[in-house]
Amino acid sequence: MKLPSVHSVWIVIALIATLLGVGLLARAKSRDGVIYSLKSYAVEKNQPERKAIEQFAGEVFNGELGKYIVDEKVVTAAYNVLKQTEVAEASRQRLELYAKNLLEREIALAHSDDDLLELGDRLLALAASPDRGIYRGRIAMMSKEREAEAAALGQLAHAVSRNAGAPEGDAAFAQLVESRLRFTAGPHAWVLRQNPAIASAVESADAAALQRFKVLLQQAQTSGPEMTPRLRDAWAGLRAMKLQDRVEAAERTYYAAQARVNALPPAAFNIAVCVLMILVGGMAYAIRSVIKGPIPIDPGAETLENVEPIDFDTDAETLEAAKHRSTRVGGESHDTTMH
Amino acid sequence: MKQLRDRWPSKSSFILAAVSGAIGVNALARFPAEVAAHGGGAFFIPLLIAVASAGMPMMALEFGLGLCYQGSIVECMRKVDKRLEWIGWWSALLGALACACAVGFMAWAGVYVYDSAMALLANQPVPWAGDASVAQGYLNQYRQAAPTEDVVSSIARIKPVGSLLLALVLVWLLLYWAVRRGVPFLSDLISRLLPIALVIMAIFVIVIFRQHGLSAVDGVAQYLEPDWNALLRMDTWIAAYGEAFRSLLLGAGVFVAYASYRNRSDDATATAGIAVCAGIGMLFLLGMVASAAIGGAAAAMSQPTSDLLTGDFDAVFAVLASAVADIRIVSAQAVVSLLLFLALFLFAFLSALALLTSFVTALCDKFHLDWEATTARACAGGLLVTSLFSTNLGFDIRLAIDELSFPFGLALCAAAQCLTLGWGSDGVRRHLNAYSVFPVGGVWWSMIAVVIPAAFLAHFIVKVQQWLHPGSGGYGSGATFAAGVLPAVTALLIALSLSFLPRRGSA
Repeated sequence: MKLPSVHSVWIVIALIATLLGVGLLARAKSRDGVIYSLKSYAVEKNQPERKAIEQFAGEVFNGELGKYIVDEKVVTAAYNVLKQTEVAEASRQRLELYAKNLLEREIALAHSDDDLLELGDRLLALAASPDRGIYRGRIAMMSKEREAEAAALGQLAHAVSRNAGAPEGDAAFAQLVESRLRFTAGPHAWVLRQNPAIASAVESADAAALQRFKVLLQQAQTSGPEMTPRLRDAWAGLRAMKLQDRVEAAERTYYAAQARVNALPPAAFNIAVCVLMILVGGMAYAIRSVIKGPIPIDPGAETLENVEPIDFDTDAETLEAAKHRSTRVGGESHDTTMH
Repeated sequence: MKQLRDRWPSKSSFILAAVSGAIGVNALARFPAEVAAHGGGAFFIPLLIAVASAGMPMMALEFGLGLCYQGSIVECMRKVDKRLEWIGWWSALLGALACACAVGFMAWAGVYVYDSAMALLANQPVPWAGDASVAQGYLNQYRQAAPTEDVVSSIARIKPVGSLLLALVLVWLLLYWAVRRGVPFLSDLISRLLPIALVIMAIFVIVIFRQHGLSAVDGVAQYLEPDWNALLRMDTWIAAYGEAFRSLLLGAGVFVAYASYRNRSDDATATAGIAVCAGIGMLFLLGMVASAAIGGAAAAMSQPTSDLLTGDFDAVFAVLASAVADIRIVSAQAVVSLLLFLALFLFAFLSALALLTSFVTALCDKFHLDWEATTARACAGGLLVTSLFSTNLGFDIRLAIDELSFPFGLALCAAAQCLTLGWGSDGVRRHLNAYSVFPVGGVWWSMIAVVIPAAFLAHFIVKVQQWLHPGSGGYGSGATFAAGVLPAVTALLIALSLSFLPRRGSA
């Protein structure tokens, strides 16, 4: 059967996309299968089976290290097999060389990729490379120009700690949050964390923010159940810095319970009623007006004065009943029964 | 030999179609966070003012254009003035981009529907059972945690995801099946699907309040509790005008196309009133439902509700999913999850139907093409474009395009439409006054010609400032360029090219 060309194109595109989708799903399943097979080495007792897995691990390992960026999970699973075999040292050296090349390449770039640097570092750790410390030092040097800024952050942290519960610490805390985010929310957060001076300043900032929240929460517990704006700000700061999980569970639960309301406040209820009344009332009025029609048409209205004649037949009666026809705006019909 | 244009079978079916187009999934996906960030309940004052001063007049204008000139936005702008056709094309192309975003959302919702169905058949808990962090972890298996600010580096890391690609193929096939049969079939479909989606949401409300009780009330309270100081901030008002337009799908020519399938002498202003009130009413109610679910999820995690309202968790696929995932009876959990994601799928489907119909109408009007063949081409092209969403970065790319294409594209395009129609043509106003229930006059004109352009130019300027100074909030400069400026400028260039092509059949 000969299909119209446009349908053929559509079917071909849909088929290609479907095949591609199935292929991608199969590839993902295959990757899971590879990792599963490699992990089964640890529990496999049968010697021929172990040999087969070792051979497979060697193929996977070599294949992965031939790529520009390795699949870390796959390469780790393969290496964990190979390091129990006679090629352990050769594999370790190969992995170390790959990681070093990756790190050298990224360190040399003006805009290095944080994730690739981290990957290189993790692969060096996997290969138990003695040179890992040297590379971490070199990575730390990449952020040397930010050390003065880190020192200022450390001073801010000190100021916040000194005035943990006092209003005097509010301005310092706002600055602390802003300054700390400049170190952790950017694209080079991992590289910055490798610099001991910066890591130490960030850690003191985190400790100061947590201490401030703790003190304010204790004040709230003693002064009454009312949530103070300063406590809310302290929590908002912790959230911005993604430190909520470092607050003790009991304190977090207490704060969450205090921040919760169990009844709709009158203002909120009034707003809901007003909004619904306006919208439902407006809609009811419009529906009533539509139902009241038909509207008398103004015979004096010249609505098409400044437009060219409409070139479609717009007589609604002709198609009112035709429920299952195609929407034609450009097609032609030879229907002569229309008026 | 006559050229025919199909018609909505009845006035009520036209109104229902308009209402279905005006209810977007934004209500559940983004609106509660938007409200929380702009003064809670106080945000509804600027929102209602924006709806009255921009949403309603613009909806009446779109209906008026479609009824008066009986064509898509492209055809209407051409009939007003041949030199304005490019504005129509810009609008239609940005509408197609919004359709692509809706399709991307449908694909994700489809994956969740499939997983819920599989869990139901196997009598197993849904894979995202647990709190919001578990649900977020499930979502992140298909998604790179966060795109880096370095756009080139992000692009280098794109990996395709097979299940999403298959879901996209199915979604486009579904859209093709629905749209190819024309407006009368759409009318039947919408009149069945919209009530189903609304009934499912009603069931979801009952489940949420039964499951979470006072925690759900806390979510609603956080959603509605007003911070009156927010009314003094400029960004609150700009956000309200943006929300009034985006939630109602205004500016993309959807309602122009829908109205063009009604009789010329039909009413526009009262129908616009119904569609706007229904659309914003549903936005308000669905926002409340989402907030109740967020309250429940926050209690389960021992976190303040505000953290989940404005936090890193995805509102729909993490928080709403986890809100139903703690139902103890496994089969009930799977059924409710299935219904929730089916309802989300249907809401997005109705939006996508409206946007695709509008785009196909524009192509058919200009080039006098066969409807079915044009629908097939549009869906095939759409599949190619949206294949970008079937990657590990697709989720974030879709979110970024959805958010940024508005200020750099649709807002400017709507401002251009209003300025040119407000100052350059009186045809629509006279048509509205001749046939509509509520006449429009100087107030309507001033909204169209002054208020809407001013609001969207302000929106644009704020976004440009954020683009040039990314530290002041929003996306990074690279992401803003790639997801906001680039699509808008590309659409503008294609629009200009299309407007120079000769119109077929205009002898």
